[in-house]
Amino acid sequence: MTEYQLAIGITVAFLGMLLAAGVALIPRAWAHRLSNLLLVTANLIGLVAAVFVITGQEGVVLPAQMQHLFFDMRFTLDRFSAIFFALLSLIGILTSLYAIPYLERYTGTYNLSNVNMLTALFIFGMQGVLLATNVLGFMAFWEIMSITSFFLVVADGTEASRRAGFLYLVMTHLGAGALIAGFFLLTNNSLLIDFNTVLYASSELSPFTLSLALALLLFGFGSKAGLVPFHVWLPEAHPQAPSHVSALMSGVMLKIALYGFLRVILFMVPGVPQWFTTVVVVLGLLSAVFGVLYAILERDIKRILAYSSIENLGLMFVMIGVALLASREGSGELAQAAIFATIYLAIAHALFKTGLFLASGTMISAVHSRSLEVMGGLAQRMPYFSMVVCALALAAAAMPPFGPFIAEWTFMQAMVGALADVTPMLKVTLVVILAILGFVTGLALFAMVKFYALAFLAQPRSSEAKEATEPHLNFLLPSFLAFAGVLLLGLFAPQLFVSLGAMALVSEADVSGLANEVLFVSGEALWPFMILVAMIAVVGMLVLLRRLVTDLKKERVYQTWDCGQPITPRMEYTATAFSAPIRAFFRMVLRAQKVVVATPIVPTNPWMASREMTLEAHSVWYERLYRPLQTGLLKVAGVLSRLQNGSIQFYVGLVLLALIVTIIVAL
Amino acid sequence: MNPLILTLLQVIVVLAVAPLAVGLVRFYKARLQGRHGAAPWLPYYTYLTLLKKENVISSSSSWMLRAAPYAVLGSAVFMAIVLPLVSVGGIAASLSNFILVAAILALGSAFLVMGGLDVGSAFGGMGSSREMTIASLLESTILLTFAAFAVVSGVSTIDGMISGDALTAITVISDPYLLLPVIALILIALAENARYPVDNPATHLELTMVHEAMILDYSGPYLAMMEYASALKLTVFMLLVTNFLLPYPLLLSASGAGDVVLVILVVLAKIVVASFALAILESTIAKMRFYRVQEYLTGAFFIALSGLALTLLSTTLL
Repeated sequence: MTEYQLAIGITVAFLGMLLAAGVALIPRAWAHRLSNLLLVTANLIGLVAAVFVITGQEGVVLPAQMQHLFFDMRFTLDRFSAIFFALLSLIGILTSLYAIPYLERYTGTYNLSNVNMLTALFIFGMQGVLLATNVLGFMAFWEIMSITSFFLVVADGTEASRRAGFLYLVMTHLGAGALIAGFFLLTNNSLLIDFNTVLYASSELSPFTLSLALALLLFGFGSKAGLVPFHVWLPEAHPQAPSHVSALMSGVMLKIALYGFLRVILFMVPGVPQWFTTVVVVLGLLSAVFGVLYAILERDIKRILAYSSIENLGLMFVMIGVALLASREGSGELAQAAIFATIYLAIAHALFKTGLFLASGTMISAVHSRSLEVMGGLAQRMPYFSMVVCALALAAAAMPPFGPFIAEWTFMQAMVGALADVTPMLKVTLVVILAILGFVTGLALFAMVKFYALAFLAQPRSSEAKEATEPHLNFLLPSFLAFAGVLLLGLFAPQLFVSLGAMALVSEADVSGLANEVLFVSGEALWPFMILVAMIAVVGMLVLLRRLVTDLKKERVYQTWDCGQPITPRMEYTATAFSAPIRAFFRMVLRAQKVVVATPIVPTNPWMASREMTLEAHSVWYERLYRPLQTGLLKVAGVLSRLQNGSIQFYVGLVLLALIVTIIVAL
Repeated sequence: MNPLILTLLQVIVVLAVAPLAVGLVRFYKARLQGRHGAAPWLPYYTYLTLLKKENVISSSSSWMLRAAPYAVLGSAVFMAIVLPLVSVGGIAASLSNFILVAAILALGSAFLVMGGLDVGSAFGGMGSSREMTIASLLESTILLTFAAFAVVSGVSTIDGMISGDALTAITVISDPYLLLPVIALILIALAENARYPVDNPATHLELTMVHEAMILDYSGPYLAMMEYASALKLTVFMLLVTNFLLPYPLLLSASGAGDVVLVILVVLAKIVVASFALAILESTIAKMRFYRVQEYLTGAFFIALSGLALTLLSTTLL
């Protein structure tokens, strides 16, 4: 395809969002379906065009007419932003497909035309961020993205949503403010210069100004990406949105923040100072560890997924930090592997997290609750759906042969390979990162097994769960497509690495006598396809042997062994009990408080008592960091409010004083 | 020898001796405790009997109960195929990358855990919760331990770490700093196989059990598969640990038909010695209270970490 055709394709996808938003507002019943179908079509066109841009040689510039539509700005898509554009389009297709049957069940809760319009504008904003070529455009679309997602968080109008929404609004605007300030410093006060020329401006900055700009940008992008300790809004806001919007927020919006961060780090600054890489690595590790620990503790399925997003974004920032460290120390191979692992994990995370969030929507609509404690037994009632969710959960835990495993393997293998011949300082850092990474991977499996097993296995814990039935194909298909995507991402990793430009990480090698394209990181080859073949071969052989050796018909169904007293669902392990060992082992950092209140039934016998257990898991970050900040600010505001004495002359005097001070500072 | 034959020989030998390893440990333990004990080959008979018995499926279970035995046994068989246990340089040697092996091991544990939860009894849930905790906290230790071997040998496939040749082998004697990673590997093996001091494989008491609690509701062929999987895993770890201590003689591509008998005898000797050592250990120490297992896991983690640090230090200085 020619560059012009691709540019038209991207433009159609871009403007298609506006069209879909307009259609959504038509007050007719068909507007809902038409609007979402338009979203699917436009995103499909965008996906195809973006994939061609990735595999092509250069980026595309959108037609000049577009320039006049939006603040006289050039829109371009280079190979780097095209990766994220393709990701956004892909997830957009899945979520819009899901929105059609999903939202029709919630006509009482949501205003369909508002939700559809906001979703379309939300995707439009994210596309705009990727297409923007200067700071002004970037920030304008960034705001469209933030504001529409805020309205989507509060879409169901409940008190909980409003609280979460306002927390999100405050955090996102603090972040946006930091971004604008950071960009101002970086571009030397000219917000209209092209991104490609920012490097010239930033090269002339003093080290202190550069550091300040980077710190502001790290806070801005980090708070959007949900890095600990700027993450408090994320587990509140993401679960409150409709499930397909949660998928967009967790799957794509966080990646937009990652894109912005990478765009600045890789293309806009001459190099980053030592302290900056350290901070990136430390924040990444903190996010990964706390994200996964809270994911284990949590009982609300959507919050588990939100915390798992924090963990995954943490891993990505660790990878970026290692890439920065490695390129500073001159180990180019490690740096390259880490960057491509970041991008690969970003793609894989978007897919499996979308699949899981969409599945959580289906689960919630079946049991009418987000709590794991009222689920259970769903696998018996929705077998096909449960298999898809199980596979997605295992993919989320970076199990082979899925995409996330490939990303983590690439990163870990590159680190292990580099251990022998890097500087002592980097060795120590890599060993620590490797240890924590292993810890996080292990606990991620815990969180995901808990997510799947407590919701789907054993006996149903509520009457709603007991009456669940296999969801309609419309509900199943998007999750299944996400599963297929994350599987293909694993199997065709070598080919995809080549398309993404990581030729150095792929090699033609001879594995087990078969020549093929394999992943090749620091001297080690991995052929993902072979892993799946081996797994299928082993299990297939076992199935065959079982059929040959034993009599399959010799089988009967009977109740679970119960020691003579019937087992009720109340005797099952709950989600709280399942994670008890982790809560106990990490009580130093988690500070969950278990309170058991025993009320004696017979006053004379303390052993016969009805016991009530409450478990309070306070967010340490909120209590220790945000609460003091909040009370401090309120105190200051209280002192300042004494100025408000009702005399107009005094106010005018203050305005004058402010003007004079400003002029003095400015001059 | 052809790589295919090397792998086939290894798989046949390991699959064949697995029940013997479990039987031997029980036999030695019985003798150490002053009992006569059952014959070491009783497990062969037990598994064959179980295969003929009726399969009872819990009414509250889903497809997971049926999938778990295949996944758990599959994970163990995968280890027996790819790891260098009897032969080095087999056809699947390229799949023995330690990160992949750790993941497959974790995958097996995950299915064991989900199978345990599926029947809905409190026993299964308790065992599953404990097993998941142990398996997930061991992950880091496994990675660090093998990373140390990878640094010394320069390759990340476990197959490449064990050369199987007396001249080029990396042993604890040639590189003494590998002692710590080997100790860490032994601690991993004990925890992964649900042995003392993490779990007591002999009891069915809810206070002590991890592994047994999860397979309580399996019967007939599925129970045979689960039991055989744990026997196989034990054998794999016994051979892996002994191979890291004494990486020869193993079957190589250069070895002839005459070596096969010798190597099989050596493998049997390794199993006999390793099960005796395990029986001695299990007869002399007590099982830990579960909520103290974190101390064991933390200890293993720091041994592995210091092993890697010492290895890096030594290879940099020497």
